[in-house]
Order: sequence, then C-alpha cells, then structure tokens
Amino acid sequence: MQHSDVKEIAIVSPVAHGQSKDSAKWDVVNGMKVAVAFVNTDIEQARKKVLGVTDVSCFERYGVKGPQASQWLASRGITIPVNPNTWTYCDQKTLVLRLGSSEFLIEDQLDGSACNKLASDTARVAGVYKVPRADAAFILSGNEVLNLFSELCSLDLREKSLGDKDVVMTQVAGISATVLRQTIGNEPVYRVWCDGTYGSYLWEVLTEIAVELGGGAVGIAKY
Amino acid sequence: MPLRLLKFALAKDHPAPRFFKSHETPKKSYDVVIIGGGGHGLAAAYYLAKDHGITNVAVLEKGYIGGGNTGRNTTIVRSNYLTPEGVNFYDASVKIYEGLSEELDLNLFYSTRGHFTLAHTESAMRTMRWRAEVNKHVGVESRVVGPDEIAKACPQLDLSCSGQAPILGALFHAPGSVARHDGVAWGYARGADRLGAEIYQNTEVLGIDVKNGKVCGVKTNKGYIETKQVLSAVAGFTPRITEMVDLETPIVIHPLQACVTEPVKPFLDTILVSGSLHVYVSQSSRGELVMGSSLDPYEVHQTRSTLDFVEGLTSHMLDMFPFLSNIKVVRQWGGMADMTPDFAPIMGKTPIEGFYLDAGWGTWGFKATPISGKTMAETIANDSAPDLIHSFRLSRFEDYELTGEKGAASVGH
Amino acid sequence: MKLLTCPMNGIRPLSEFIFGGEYRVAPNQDTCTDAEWAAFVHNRSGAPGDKKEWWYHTPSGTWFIAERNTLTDKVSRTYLHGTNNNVVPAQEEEGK
Repeated sequence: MQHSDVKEIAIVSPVAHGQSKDSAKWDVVNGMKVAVAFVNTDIEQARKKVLGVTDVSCFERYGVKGPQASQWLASRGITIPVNPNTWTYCDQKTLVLRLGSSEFLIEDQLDGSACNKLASDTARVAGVYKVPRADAAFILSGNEVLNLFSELCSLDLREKSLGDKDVVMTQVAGISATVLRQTIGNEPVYRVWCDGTYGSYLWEVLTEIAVELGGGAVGIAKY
Repeated sequence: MPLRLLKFALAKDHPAPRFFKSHETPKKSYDVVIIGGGGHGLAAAYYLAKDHGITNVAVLEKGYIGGGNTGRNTTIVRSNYLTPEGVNFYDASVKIYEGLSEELDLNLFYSTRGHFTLAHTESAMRTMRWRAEVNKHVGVESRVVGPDEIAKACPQLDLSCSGQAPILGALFHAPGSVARHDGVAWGYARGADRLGAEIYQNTEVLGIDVKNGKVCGVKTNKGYIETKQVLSAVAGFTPRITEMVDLETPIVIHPLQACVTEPVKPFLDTILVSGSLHVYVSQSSRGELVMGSSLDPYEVHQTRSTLDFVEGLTSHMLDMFPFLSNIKVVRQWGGMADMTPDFAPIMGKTPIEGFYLDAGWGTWGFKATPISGKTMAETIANDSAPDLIHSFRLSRFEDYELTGEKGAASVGH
Repeated sequence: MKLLTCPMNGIRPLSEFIFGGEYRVAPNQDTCTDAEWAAFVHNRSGAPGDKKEWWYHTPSGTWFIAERNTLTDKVSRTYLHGTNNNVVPAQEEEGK
C-alpha cells in the first residue's frame, strides 16, 4: 500500500477511480494523488510512441472570465491569445487558452507557477470573475492518436484542419471536452480537458481504445 | 366470417368489401364538420351518431384515414396515470376498449399483456408508489413490484441493465394492453359510416370562417361547407388549424419516432417501459418488437426519421436485452406530437363559439381514442363539456390550473 | 438538420447543441393585464414557419440565436445575441 507514504491528506485525481484496477504507482504531485507509473519504464516508453494516455489532472489550473478578464490577465503579465478559441504559451511553462471571447483557462505545466500567483490575488475587480476549475486533463501521445480520435470525436483533428494554436471545444466520447495540439519535448501530443466528474469514464474509454491500438496507460513520470 | 368467405368463394366476381362509402363532393352544409380522420375524429363521428343521433356529419381527412398518429403510435393502452383526473379519464377509455371489438364487429386484436414501468432510481420508485396509490384510490389495478416479480414475468430481461442502471422495481399495471391501431380507425369509420356520417379522404381544410366570434363555415380543397360546429382533431397539425381561427394555445410540435424489428420467436408477453433508458417495447402478435423512445429534442413539423434515434434506442434496448444484438430493425417512422406544458390533452370548448378542440395529444393519444371520441361528441351535442374532461379545458392555462401528468408520460421527460 | 453553425465555434454536429425554445419578448409586467401575462407564460406560436430561436452549444457554453424554418428544418443564419460581444452583426438588435 502506498497510502502510508502520503503524509498530508491529498486530493485524489478525478481519474483515479478509473485506474484502481491498474496496479499503478502513486505519488502526490501539486497536492494531488496521481498515478506516476503503471509498468516498467521501457514498456511505457513504447506505449508512448504508439498511443500513450496520461492523466495530468494534477497540473495547476486557473480559470477567469468577464469583460475585463483579458485586461486583468495582461496587467499580471500573462500573455493573451488574440483570437477566441486559440492558445499560447506564457514563459514556455504555462498554457493560456482563450475559450470564447472573454473566458480563459490558464494551466501551468509541471514547472510553471503562474496559477498560484494569480490565485493569491484575491482582490475583487469589476468585470473579472474567477471560474473554479475541476478538470480531468489528459496527454495523448503517439502515432496512433488520430485513429483514437476518429472513433471518439466527429471533428477532423489532423494538422491541416486543427492549427497548432487552435483550441476546440467539442464532444469526445459523448461528453464535452476541450482539445488542442501541443509539442512536448519535440513530440507532438494532443491535450484533452473535460469536467472532472467524467474523468474516470474518459480514462476508461481512452485506455481501452489505446490498448486495442497497441498502446496504453502511461504515468505522469514520463513527462 | 366463414359464411362470408363461402359467399365469396361461390360468387362470380369478388367485389372488395368497402369499410365505408366514398362520396364525390361534400354537401353544401353539415351540422358538424370534423377535421381529421384519425381515431379521435372518427370516434367522435361514431358517438355523435350513436349516442346523440347527430348524423349530418362530415369527417374531412387531408390524407387517408388512420394515416396520421393513429397509425404511427406503438399501440399501448393503459390508465396508470398520475392525477386522479387523468386516471379516471384513461380508465374510462380502457373500459370501452375492452368491449370495442364486439361493439365495432371488427377484431382489433386487443391483447391485455400487463404493463411494467421500470424504475432504475429511488426517485423513480417514489413516483411509482405515488402512481400506484392514486390508481388504487380511483380503482385502477396498479401496484409496485420488486425485481423478482419482473424477472418472473420477463426472464430474458437483464435486471442490471448492463450495470448502467440496475432495475429497483416497477409499477405493474395489469390492464395494460396493445391493439391494432389502424383497426381502431377503420372500425370507427365503418361504424360512423353505417350510422350516416360521411367520410372524405384527400380533403384538406384551407380555412375556417368565423363571424362575430362564431364558426359559420369551412373552406376546403373540395369547396366551401357551411356549418356552425367544427371539431379539430388533427394532433400534430393543431397549430395550423388554430392559426386559422386566431386562437393561441400552448401546443408545440416535436417529432416522436418509433421502429420495429424483424419478427422473432415470441418471448415478450408484457409491455415494458423504462423512463431512465427512454424505451418502451412490446412484441406484436407477428413477433416484431415494437419500440419507441422519447421526443426529438427540438420543434420541427416533419415526420422524418433519424439515425440518431435508432442508434440511441437500440443501444438502450441492448442494455435491457443483450441477446438481441443480431436482430435487425426493419422499419422506422415518425409522427408529429402536439405537446402541452403539463403533458395533459386540451379538450372541449374554446372562446370561439362552435369551435371545439381535441388536441394536445402529444405522445399519449391512441389509448384515449374511444373516450375522447365519446366525450367530444357529448361536448358538441350539448355545447358543454362533461365533467370527465373539465381538467383538460383550454382555459386551465389562464386559470393556472394545470393537470400535471408529466410523471406518468412513459419516457417524455 | 444534422449540422448547425455555432457563431463562436463553427460548424458542428447537432448532438453538440441543445434547443432553447423560441426567442420571445415578455410583456411589461407592470402594465400588462393578467390575461396577457398568462398568455405569455403558457402560449406558444406553434404553427410552422420562420422562427428566431435560442440554441446552446454545450461544450463551449455558448448561447446564440438561430433563424430556422420549423417546417423545412433549414437554418438561414445564426448569431450571438446582445451587444456584449465583438462579433455581433449590426442588424441583430431588432428583437430586443
């Protein structure tokens, strides 16, 4: 049992329920208990190349909306994507997604720290509303990833129709999700966010198809 | 029947027996004009003649009789409703149905199967208990049963529903039945015709003449007809008719779809309904599974059918009956349901003198065919609605006295 | 209709949308009669024809207006309601 290693009470990843069957190795990242590895590192490396599914719900996130939201973010040094439904990097460590015209999702990658800074600013400003985020988040990697999407999503997510700065909000496996393409360490990957309550469902669907296509679950330690 | 067969065998020519006379053009005037030659309109014509001696009646049907929602429903007859008003009304209908084959001298294949409304959640169980108590109070046979009794009645049913929505119990309604729906229209048509009413197919109403708040005539594609009394019994076309007389109603049209499978060996004796899985199913005497689902989710005045509907319905059917995965759906169709906000019909008089409404039949009209015909005939004959349909009057909306039947709609919510 | 154009997200399958009913303007509560108010609460323009309707794109949470013929099920145009948004066509305000 890994529980004895956990010193503080940590939030459990919204995906964890769907992973309990797997003999995952657990650890606490950003205050959230999350599967860091599933099998030995060579097998996971091979899965990652074909079709890897990784739970990254533990990344820090901050949501904000309102007519003054973009000015407010800009005044705090956040790089704002110009057009709705696009995203950009802020300091190479933080994703900034513009959801519609006046709503934003900011997500720190493992080494980012923008979200905690934004969250510590509790002063109320007119026209700026915090959006509590409780996402399940995934990284999908490998050369079979488009075959997976062709089973789950009615949109064409190939490079020629999904630009590298586009954000799409659509349905994946019948539930609302946000999707974009990103490059992590020279590898092209897809990112998927959905409401946390659907986390374990989506994990089960994604990994089931991933296994069929020769891939499988990959721990967050690989990123 | 055998005698009639013998007569045919010995006859030199074989004239097809007609159910009702075909008339060339309508007369100049009628005492009553009924718009809509479905079950409801034809039943009203029949009871106007039989109960009230009013026979100078024309039934105008823009297509062919029984070709609308009468021939598009899933033929279920039941009275396990939620409000005492509803239960009384539908129970009166079931009682007429039980003797209707004899009365109309036509085999309607009325088959009492027992009707299970499956509950998959505690809140659904609560509604079932509520309905059972109201039904019992009014004298209608309904009771709440557990999974064991459901399994006994239908051993093929997967009580866990693939683990997605395990069945906790059901409302069992013993009088629940199915009937041959087009037969109901044809039987009433023949009965009305024999008593003197005239039926006109391919006859479309183009306008209704109203002067000083009173109906005085109907314009049709076969000429003008003078009349002081008009009954609209057109289900999904109701808003088009009420628009002709500038009458506002709460009715909105949504398509309702259904489908049947190829015939299979009989295995399903009962009628099953699942609100959570949006399915109702029975097996016809030919062996086909007759299946329906919830309303299409947006307003459209069409009878088109969609792939989304069959996909959704069949996936839920497989939750209940996994062994049906190789059975083919052979036919699907749609009807236009005239929905009301409280899931109860709109029946009776209107602010326009001589204009009567039999509408708002949404997804629940077939089972009410006999009693709505009877009560609308009474309403027209006396120019006053009987107590049985008082709660269904159009003015209940401006009085904020709705008759909430949503909890008893099979899967409409 | 199998596809619908969301003004913010483009052409999407109908399964991504929820129908929100007809766009309606309420009578003034302070001056209308009880009968007018009851009619507004309950009655609908049920006859088929060109209608202005609310639709909702579920994945993005976008409410918008679609002009649709309820007989043919053809959508003539879709746009965002109101002026709080920078992509609203200018001719949109007449229903307010």
